[in-house]
Amino acid sequence: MGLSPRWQTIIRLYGVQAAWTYERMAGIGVGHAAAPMLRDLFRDRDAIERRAAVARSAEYFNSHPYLAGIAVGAVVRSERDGVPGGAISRLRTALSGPLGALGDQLIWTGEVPALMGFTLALLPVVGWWAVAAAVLVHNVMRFRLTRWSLDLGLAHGLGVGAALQQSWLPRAAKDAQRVAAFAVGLALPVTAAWLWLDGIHEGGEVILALVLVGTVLTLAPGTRTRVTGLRFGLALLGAAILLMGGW
Amino acid sequence: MAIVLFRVDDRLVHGQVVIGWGRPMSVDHVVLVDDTVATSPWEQDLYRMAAPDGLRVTFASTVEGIAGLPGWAQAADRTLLLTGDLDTMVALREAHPALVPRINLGGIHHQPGRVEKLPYLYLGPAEVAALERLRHAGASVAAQDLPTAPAVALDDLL
Amino acid sequence: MTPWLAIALLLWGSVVALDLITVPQGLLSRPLVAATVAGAMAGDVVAGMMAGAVLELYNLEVLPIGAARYPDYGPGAVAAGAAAALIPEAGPLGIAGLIGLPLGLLGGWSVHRHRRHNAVRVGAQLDRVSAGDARAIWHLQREGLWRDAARGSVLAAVGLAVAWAVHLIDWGLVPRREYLDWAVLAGGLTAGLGGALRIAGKGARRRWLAVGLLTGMVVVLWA
Repeated sequence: MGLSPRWQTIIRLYGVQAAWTYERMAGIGVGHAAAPMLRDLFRDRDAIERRAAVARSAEYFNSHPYLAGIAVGAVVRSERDGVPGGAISRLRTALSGPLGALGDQLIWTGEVPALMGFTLALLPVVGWWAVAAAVLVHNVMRFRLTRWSLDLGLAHGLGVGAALQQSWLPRAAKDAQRVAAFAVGLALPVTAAWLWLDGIHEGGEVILALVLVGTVLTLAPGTRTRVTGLRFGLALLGAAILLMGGW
Repeated sequence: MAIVLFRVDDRLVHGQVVIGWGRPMSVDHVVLVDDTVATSPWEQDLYRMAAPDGLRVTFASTVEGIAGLPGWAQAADRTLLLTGDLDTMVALREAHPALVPRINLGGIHHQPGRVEKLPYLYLGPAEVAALERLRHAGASVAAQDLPTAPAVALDDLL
Repeated sequence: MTPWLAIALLLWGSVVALDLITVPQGLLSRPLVAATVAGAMAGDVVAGMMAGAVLELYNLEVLPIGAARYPDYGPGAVAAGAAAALIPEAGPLGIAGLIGLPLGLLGGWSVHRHRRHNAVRVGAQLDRVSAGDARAIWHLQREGLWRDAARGSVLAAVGLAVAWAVHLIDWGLVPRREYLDWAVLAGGLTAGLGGALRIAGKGARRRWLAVGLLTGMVVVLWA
């Protein structure tokens, strides 16, 4: 017995960015994710209608990948409700920016830095178990969010915007970012002390002075567009190699 | 305070705007000037919902944008003014040249007839004509998707 | 390094590269995770974890938002984690910087090239995609996945080649080797702190960041 179309779509939502391009962004992946449910929906209907729906679902789209299921579900539900193609495309376009902004806050500046911050802070105490726990927690949350997103879209179709507003998601996005800010703040001194004590033992004042200079450069209006931590680190690395060689 | 950034981005209010630019520039007010969204309450609700804590979003049509611009420029907020297309930004600039000194091109995406200039910037004849008008009017225009990415001057795009 | 270990690390590099964007975005591409697993495979999980931790500090400033370009530290972290385990005399932090940072830049560039290749393939199939051919869409997805896996293998192989070169150095004779560690840790803390301040913006998030920093300092002083 095969997987139901809904479960096929849930699995495919994990790979929504596999064929990501600058022109269509995640459009192809969203079309791929929607295909099993659209195939099921149009099983007894005209193949031309089905192909038009699949083509619409693969047009330009970009949002946070974890929340793409909301758009996929809403599009499938709208196709089921007989909503005109133009209105469906408009819904996809309108969802793109807000789902991107919400997902970026919830995941990229929320849940992921929060987990990584707490993991870094716990490393000196529990070692690699903290890493394993972070991966487990993240993937459980990722799966639940993916499934919830698809079901929300399927349940509400064109009304998904209002449903999203009344859901837990906007509040969670705000809270997750505060937790992340705390966790990263906690991690920085703990990780610095751990790496310094276990791996270096000396030069603490030099390191602190360099961090101060680097942080000012990455934040100052005149230099922040050019200096990132990576560029600063590579510059320091180059300088260290020169000094080591006595060149 | 002032309008700290004038940005053209057809994805409107999304992560690069509210986090990428909004956070480092301490933006607390986004004005979205877009004739379609200005008449669509459900889309406005979506964009408001996606705004982070402490960020207010105002929606305006082009006409309302032209009328409101002097007020936003003098308000205490740090405002980011966003349009979804170049024509709207040209209209704002031509109405208030002194208040729109610099324009950031953050996202004009692929459509039939447009040619890629940068991964996030595709220009067709209509976009090139609008940019030429801005150049002749003396506006400073540069493409830059995020503050940490290099800015590309208009002369290098046309 | 045995051939089996090299093969296992290349496979792990592929998985890590796939995880960043293509599938499943399950945290495996974070340098801390990638390097810890690689260190365990090479026989010293703690060395891998330390290399991963310092690279993770760099990753804290990365914002993968919109269509932005950003470094891909994952495959480089695989090589760095393994090298930290296999070349203990070089020190895990310095070796993480020597291998992981340049590879992070190269990884970011390779993601950009990968997206370009995707676009070429989509362009070639555009008529079928526009006609709603689900089979063409599936082919594009599958091709993208394999291409990204190959990207990860190549990056991990480059990283292992650099590690091999690093292994040829007689670290006992290198003067002031600790400068490398200082540079890499200072850069990582700059990235972490600068990134956190930039991303936090102002208001409540910045206050929470300050509370976290103070708590961390108290923990360090107390412990």
